[in-house]
Amino acid sequence: MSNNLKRLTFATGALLLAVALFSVGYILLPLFSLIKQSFLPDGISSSLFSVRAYAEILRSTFFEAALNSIGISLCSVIGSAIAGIFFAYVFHNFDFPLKAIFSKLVLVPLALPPLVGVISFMFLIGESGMLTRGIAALLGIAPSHFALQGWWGIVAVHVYSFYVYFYLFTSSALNQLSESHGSVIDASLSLGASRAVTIRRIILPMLTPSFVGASLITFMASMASFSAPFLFGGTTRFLTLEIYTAKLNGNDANAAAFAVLLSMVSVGFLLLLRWYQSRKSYLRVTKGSSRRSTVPHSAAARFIAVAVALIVVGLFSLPVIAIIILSFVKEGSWTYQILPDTFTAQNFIKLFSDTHVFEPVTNSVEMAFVATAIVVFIGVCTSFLVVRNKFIGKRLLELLMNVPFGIPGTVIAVGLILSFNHPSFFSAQSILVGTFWILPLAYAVRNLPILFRSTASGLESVDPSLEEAAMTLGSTGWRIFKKITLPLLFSSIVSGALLVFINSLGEFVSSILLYSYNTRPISIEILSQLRLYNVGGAAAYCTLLMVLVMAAVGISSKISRATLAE
Amino acid sequence: MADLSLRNISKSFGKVQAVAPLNLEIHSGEFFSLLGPSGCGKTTLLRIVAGLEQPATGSLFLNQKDITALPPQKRNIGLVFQNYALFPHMTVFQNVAYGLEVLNRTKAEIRTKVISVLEKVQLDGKQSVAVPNLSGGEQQRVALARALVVEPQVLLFDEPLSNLDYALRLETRSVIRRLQKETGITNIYVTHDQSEALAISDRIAVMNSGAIQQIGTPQELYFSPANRFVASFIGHANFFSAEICRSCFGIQAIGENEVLVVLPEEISIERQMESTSKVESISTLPSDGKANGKIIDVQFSGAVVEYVIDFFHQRITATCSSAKHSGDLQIGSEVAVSLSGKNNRKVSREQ
Ligand SMILES: Nc1ncnc2c1ncn2[C@@H]1O[C@H](COP(=O)(O)OP(=O)(O)OP(=O)(O)O)[C@@H](O)[C@H]1O
Ligand SMILES: [Mg+2]
Repeated sequence: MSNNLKRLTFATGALLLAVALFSVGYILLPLFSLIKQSFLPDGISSSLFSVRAYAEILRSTFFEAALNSIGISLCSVIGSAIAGIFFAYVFHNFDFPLKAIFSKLVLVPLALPPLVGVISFMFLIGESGMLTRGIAALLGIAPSHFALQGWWGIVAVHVYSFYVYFYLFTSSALNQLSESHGSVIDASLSLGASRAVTIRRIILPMLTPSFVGASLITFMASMASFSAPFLFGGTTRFLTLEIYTAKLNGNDANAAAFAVLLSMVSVGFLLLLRWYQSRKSYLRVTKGSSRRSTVPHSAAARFIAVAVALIVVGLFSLPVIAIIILSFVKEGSWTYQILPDTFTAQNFIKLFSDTHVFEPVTNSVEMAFVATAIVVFIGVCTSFLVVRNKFIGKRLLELLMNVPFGIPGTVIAVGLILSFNHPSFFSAQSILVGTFWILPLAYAVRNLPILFRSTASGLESVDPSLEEAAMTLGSTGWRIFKKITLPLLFSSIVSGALLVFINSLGEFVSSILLYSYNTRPISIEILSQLRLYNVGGAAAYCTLLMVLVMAAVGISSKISRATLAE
Repeated sequence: MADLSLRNISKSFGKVQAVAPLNLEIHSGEFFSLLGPSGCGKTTLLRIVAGLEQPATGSLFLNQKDITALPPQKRNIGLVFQNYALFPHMTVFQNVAYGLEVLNRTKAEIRTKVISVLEKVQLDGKQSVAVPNLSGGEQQRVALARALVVEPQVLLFDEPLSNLDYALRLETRSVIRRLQKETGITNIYVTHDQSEALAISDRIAVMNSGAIQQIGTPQELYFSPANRFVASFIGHANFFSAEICRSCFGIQAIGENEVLVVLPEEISIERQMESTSKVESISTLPSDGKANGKIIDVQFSGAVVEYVIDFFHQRITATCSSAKHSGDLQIGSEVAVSLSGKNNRKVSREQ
C-alpha cells in the first residue's frame, strides 16, 4: 500500500537540478550536436539545412557497411546462442569434477576488456597466431587458407565476448524454472512425454523470453562493437569503423550522419528490448518448496556433453594464457616461430621502472576513478529521485539515463567532440576536447545506465515503510538516507560501481577518438605498442590490465562483505 | 497524556475516496480501535494521523494543537507497521536505539532505556541478534519496543498481529494491552478482526467504505448496533423482516422499513419430530411464535456449535454451547426456530 511517492523538497529539488543538467548537457546535447552536424549546410547551396552528408554516405559505403554490421551481428547472435545455451544447459544439468572452477572460467570474457580479448585472438587464431601457425605446420598448408580474419574473425571474437549474455540469461532462467516450476518438468515426464518432447514443448517455450532478451543485447553489442572490426576485420567495412574513418578524415558531417543512422538502429533495438521485457514472462516466483528438477539423460549423453563443454571452456581460457605468455616475449624476438622462444621479464621491469611507460596506467586508473565517482553520484541520485519521488519529467529522465545503453561508444565520443570542441555552458566556457576531462566524462556517460539500473532495482526492493518507520521515529531526509537506505543499497551500488570501473579501465572505443598524448589510457598505449610491433610490451600492458581488473573485483567483494558483516 | 481530535478529515486517491470526511475524538490514555473490512480506509486514516499522508480536507489536533501541517518527524506519534518494517541491516539493539540516537541521547542513557524496554517486551538477552534471525512474534515485539522507547504521545498500530499464528496473536495482544495500561499512552489500533477489537479496546470505531459507521464501547457495538453493517460485522447478526417478525414470532412493534437484529446465540432451535406439511408462504402461518426451518450445515468449533438454517429461503445462523448440542440436530433435520432474549433491537432495512 506504500506506493506513495514523495513530493520534491528543497534538497531533492537541488539534486534533481544537478542530474537534469548532467543528462541534458552530456547525454541529450551531444546527440543534438550530432544530428545538427549531420544536416550542416554544405556551403554550396544557400539553405540552412542540407542532406548532403546522408546522400554522400548512402551513395558510397553505407549499405556495404550496414549489411556487414547486420550480417556479422546476426551471426554473432547465433554463435553466442549456441555456445551460451549449451554451456548453461550442461552446467545446470550435470555434475562433474572441478565444476566450481569451470563455472568461473565460463565467465572470464565478462571481466576481460574487449580490446584485450581481440588482441589475444589475433595472436592465437589470427594469420600469424600461435594456433594458426601450429596447425599450418602440422598440416603443411599456408595459414592464409584457414586463418580466421575479416568477417568470420569478427564473428569469432564476438561469440567469445558475448556468449556470456546467453549463458547468464539461460542459467538464471533454468534455475528459476527448476526452482519454481520443477513440477512442470516432472509433470510432463509423468504424463509419458519423452525427454525430447519435454525439452521442445515445455522447457524451450518457457525459456524463450530469456533467449529473446539475450539475443537483443548481443545484437546491440555486436552492432556497437569497435575493437574487433578495427583490429581484426582487415578490410571489412563496419558501421562503427566508418564513423571513425570519416572523423579521422576530418569529415565531421559524414561521421555524424553515419552515427545518426547507426544510433537509429541501436535505439530501435533498445526500445524493442524494453518493450519485450515489459511483457510478462512465464517465469514467476511462486510459493512452495523448491527442489531441483532436471531432465534425466543417458550416461553416454552426459559424458559427451560434459567433455565437449569442458574442452570448449578450456579453449576459452586460452586467450588469457596466450596474453600472459606473450607478455614475457622479448621485443622483436617472436617473428615466425610457432611459439615464442626467448622469454624475459624486461617488459614488466620497464613498465614499472620507467615513469613514462607507466604513465598510461596512472592515467587509466585516475580516469576510471573519476568516471566511477561521477557515475555513482549521478546514478545513485537519479535512481533515488526516480524510484522514491514524483515530479514532472520523471519518465524522460529515466529514458535519458537508459539512452547511452543503446548508443555505440563511437557515437557517444563523436557527440561529445562536436559539443565540446567549442566553449559551452556545460564545460564552464572552456574547450573540453583535448583535455583530461573529456575521457572520464565519456566513460561516465557510457556506463551510467549500468549503475542506474542496478541501483534503481536495488532501491525498488527496499521497502519504503522502512523509511517511513524512520520518519515516525523523528529521523529526517539525509539521516534516513545515510542510515537506512544507503546501507541497504550498498551492495548493489558497489557491484554497479565495480562494472563501471572495470569498463573504464580498459575502455578503448571512445578513447581512441578522445585521447591526447598526455592523457592516453592503457588501451591506446597497447595499440601503439602493437603498431611498433612490440608484442611483448603490448601484452604486458594487457596482463597488467587483467591484474587491475582482478584486484578491483577482489577489493569490491571485500568491501561488500565487510559492510555485510558490520 | 494526549488526546487527539480529527475534524472533517478526508482523503482520495484519484477517483477512490479512501476516507470520507469524518470526525473523531480520541481521549487521553484510551485504547481506541479502528475496525472494518479490507479496503475501508483504516490504513489511510492511520497514515494521516502519523503524518505520512496529507489529508485532502480537515485538520488534526493533538492536545488542542493543530498538527495537520507538521511532518511525521515532529509529531511524536509512533507507528507499528503490519510488516514490522524493522531495519534488516541492524541488530535488535540498534533497531530499538535508532529513535533515541536521532534525539541525540547519550550512549549510557540509550543503553539503559533500550534494555529496560526490551525487558518489558520480554526480549532481554536478544539485543545483539540480527533481526532477520528472529521469529515473527519476536520481530513484532522489537517493532513495538522500537516505537515505545521514544515515549511517543500516541502509538498507532496497523494490523500488528495479522502475520502471527493464533497462539502468538493472543500472547502479543495481551503484551500490547498490558503495556498500554502501564504507560498510559493513547493507542489507536487498526484491525479487521472483530473479536480482537472487542477484546482489547476501550472504544471502537467501525468503518466501512471510508466512513465511520458507529463509535462506541465493545458492549455498545455488540448489543446496540447503529445499523445493519455494524450488526452483521460485529455480531454476525441475523435480520428478520417485519413480516417474519409478526407472522413467526408474534412481534408487532416493528415498522415496515425496519429489520429485527437477532444475534446467533439468541436463536434457539428444537428438533421437530412430526413432519409437518411444509409451509411455503409466511402469510399462511399460525402466529404461535414458532416457525419451521431446516438445518443445512452444522459446524463444531470447540466451545460453541453453529447451525446454518434455511428459514423461509433466508440463511440464518444460530449458535449454542457445545454442551447443549444434541445428536438429533443434524444436517437435514427439521427444526422449530424461536427467539430468546429481549429482541428489541431494530435497524433500518437498508444496508
Ligand atoms: N497510495 C494509494 N494510491 C491509490 N489508492 C490507494 C492508495 N492507498 C490506498 N488506496 C486505496 O484506498 C482505499 C483504502 O485503502 P486502505 O489501505 O486505507 O484500506 P485498509 O482499510 O487499510 O485495508 P486493509 O485491511 O486491506 O489493509 C483502497 O481502495 C485502496 O485501494
Ligand atoms: Mg491496511
